[in-house]
Amino acid sequence: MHENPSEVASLLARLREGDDVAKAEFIAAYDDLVRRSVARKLHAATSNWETSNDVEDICHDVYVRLFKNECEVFGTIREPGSINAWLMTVSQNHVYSYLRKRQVRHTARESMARERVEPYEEGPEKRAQDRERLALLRERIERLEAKDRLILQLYYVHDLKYAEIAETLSLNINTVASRLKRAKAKLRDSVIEDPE
Amino acid sequence: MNAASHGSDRPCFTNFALQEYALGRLNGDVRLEVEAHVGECRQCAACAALIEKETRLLNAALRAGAEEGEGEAPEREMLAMYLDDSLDQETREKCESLLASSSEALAALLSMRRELVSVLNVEALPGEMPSRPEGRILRMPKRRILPKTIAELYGDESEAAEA
Repeated sequence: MHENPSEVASLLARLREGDDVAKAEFIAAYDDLVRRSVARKLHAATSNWETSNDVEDICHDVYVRLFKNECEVFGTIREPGSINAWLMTVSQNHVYSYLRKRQVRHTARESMARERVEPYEEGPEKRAQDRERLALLRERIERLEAKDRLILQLYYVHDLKYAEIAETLSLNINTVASRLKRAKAKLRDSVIEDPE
Repeated sequence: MNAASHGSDRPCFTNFALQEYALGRLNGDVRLEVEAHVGECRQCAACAALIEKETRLLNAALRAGAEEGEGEAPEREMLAMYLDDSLDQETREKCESLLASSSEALAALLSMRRELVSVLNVEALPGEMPSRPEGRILRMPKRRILPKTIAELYGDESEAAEA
């Protein structure tokens, strides 16, 4: 690991110039830090999981991100001396991103199953009903205002948070929340609810 | 079902918190709190199950719609101006219709947004998860009902708790 800020600054500059030797040097210098950060955060978040393969996958994602687009992300480091903290943050963010994709839900899943809410996938008749309901739901979604459809897509499909949606659509965060709630209410009344 | 049936003494989680949980967006500490609570509280477990069901349905319907969606090729200049909030109202609405109907256009917009975020602020890299998402209310008083339907679920939480 480089301790001298001027050495770090020089390495970062070479990375930005697309120097492959600098990439190898970077990995040799910081791989241990990246791995420890990922493993620590992953272990804290998923104490019962096998994590060795996950650590490998996440570290790979971290390097892909760092070296993407000619290492442009390194251009955001203003203080070369703070690269360790910066790398730890980036590594840990990738753990969250990875876990989000894996949709970790253990204890609650068991408890939710106890409530016997019917799963979405179940039996041919149920599947046919679900297909019909999905088609109806899509029809009803198409009838929503474009902005409300966009908010639903950004929240449920593209995984954006309220604040990110607000920023993307130039809306107030409370407007995002109320529009999302209103759109869901329109869908819920006619389609989402079980016909009983 | 009454409050006495709660296994946990702590306040319940709001629908917003359970929604973020269903989407896998809560960080380690908060996620563990939610899981522990949902494991003990029948009311919140029922709510979480309904929210997960609603989330799954909406996600499936929206994804299917996006796959079939046809739209014009995205114009980068218009998308950039949209992100910058510098379009007039009419063009803005036209742009939103395009974004809502074309997965290609929406993907292009999100890609531009990510580029913008990556050059402006490294802390906002994808994957960031605040411990208290967006400062919204995560806890609420004890739930009084055990909802059987999604309508009952949302009837249980006041507007004030959501806002």
